[in-house]
Amino acid sequence: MLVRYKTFPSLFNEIDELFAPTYPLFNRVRFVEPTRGVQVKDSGDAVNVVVELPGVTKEDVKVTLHDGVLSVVAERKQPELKENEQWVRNEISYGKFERSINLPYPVVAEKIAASHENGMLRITLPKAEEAKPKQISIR
Amino acid sequence: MTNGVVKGVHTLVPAVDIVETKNSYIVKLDIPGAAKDKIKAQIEDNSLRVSASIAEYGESGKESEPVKEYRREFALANDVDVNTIDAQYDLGVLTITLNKKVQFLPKEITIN
Repeated sequence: MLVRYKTFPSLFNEIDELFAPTYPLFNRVRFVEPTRGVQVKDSGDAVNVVVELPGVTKEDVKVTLHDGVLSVVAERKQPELKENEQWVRNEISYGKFERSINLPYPVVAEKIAASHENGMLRITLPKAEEAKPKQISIR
Repeated sequence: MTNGVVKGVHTLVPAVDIVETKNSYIVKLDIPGAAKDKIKAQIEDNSLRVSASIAEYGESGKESEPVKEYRREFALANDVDVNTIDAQYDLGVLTITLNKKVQFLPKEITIN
């Protein structure tokens, strides 16, 4: 007699729930929000912007500055499954990502520097002279 | 119980994509901003454990203390060959390839 054989047990069971009692840590972890992490920091002479863009190549990131608004447009391309391939889990979101940041200070557009490493886009925007903090000497 | 987690460090669960191919499982985890040597992946008790600590860069270009940490664990089924696991980190994405044991691979049977 032939019995329908269920394919191998799913490799990735709902382990997160399974491990919750043994690893109390898992109860208070925070899931990564679907919007990518953006950080804006004032470092005195410059404004530093960090955008998390995992899986995005340098060619697929565009940074523009217009009217004091910094825009980051990035695209993460959806992987194509070949024949004989199937999803087991798909939590990563693909597609276009766009984020605009109102800069808190006027900046020197010519001196903006950007780097993209390990999925992190870092932009350093030097403040315009009039926006830099000034030390006032007390007589 | 601290579970080895440094106080004041955010612990995050990285998003994961898993694709099953004919010969393997390909696991992709979003871990942006990690230095390669700060990512740990290990097989223990038939589980795949991944963790990475993320530091920030100061003006001097020097790394700070870790500010956040990614952690995730997966139970492995018995069809995974734990001796041939491959891991790569590129563009902030950790890709782990888990090969299936030979006896679990689909076989073509020729009919005489």
